[in-house]
Amino acid sequence: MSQITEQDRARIQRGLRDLGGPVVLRYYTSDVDSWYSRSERALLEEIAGASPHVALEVHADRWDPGREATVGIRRTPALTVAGARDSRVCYYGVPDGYELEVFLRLLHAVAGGPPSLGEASAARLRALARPVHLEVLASPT
Amino acid sequence: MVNLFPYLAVRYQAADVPTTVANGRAVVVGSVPEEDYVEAIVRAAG
Repeated sequence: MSQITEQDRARIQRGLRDLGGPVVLRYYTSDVDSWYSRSERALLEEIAGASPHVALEVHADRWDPGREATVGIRRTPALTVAGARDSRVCYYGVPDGYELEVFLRLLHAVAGGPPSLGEASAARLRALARPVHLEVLASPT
Repeated sequence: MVNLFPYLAVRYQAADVPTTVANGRAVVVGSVPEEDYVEAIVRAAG
């Protein structure tokens, strides 16, 4: 991951300008300091600093299976994204490259922005009888 | 995610990104229309 560019800084500022509600980012990472973890943390601090609605909590600790089970994450580094209520969304890895735009939209969704799903799709998903655990594998560019 | 956790791509046999995994099984590869995406999730919930 490269350092934050002016272009990314502008995208973050623009992307969070009209965030509709509070969002808490909880960042779970290793207690081992590295260039990678410093870069990721810098990006998250940039995001948190771009909106008064975004709060960042950093948990740089040793792997603790008990805690991870409670939090609901499966590996680190991980980000949980919560709005007024827990969204149960976990983001693994760094929202870098084209993923940054996707991540900013996620913050809007969690903050209570307008739903991006059509009503018919939302109705089908609301009718699910069993829980579904979704993971989306992506690769930042 | 895949670049940081490459074993996930192996586990789910993800040949392309994005790959969506539902309850441990790859159900959507690539970008698809919303209706198809929802249909895949509904089937996975089966």
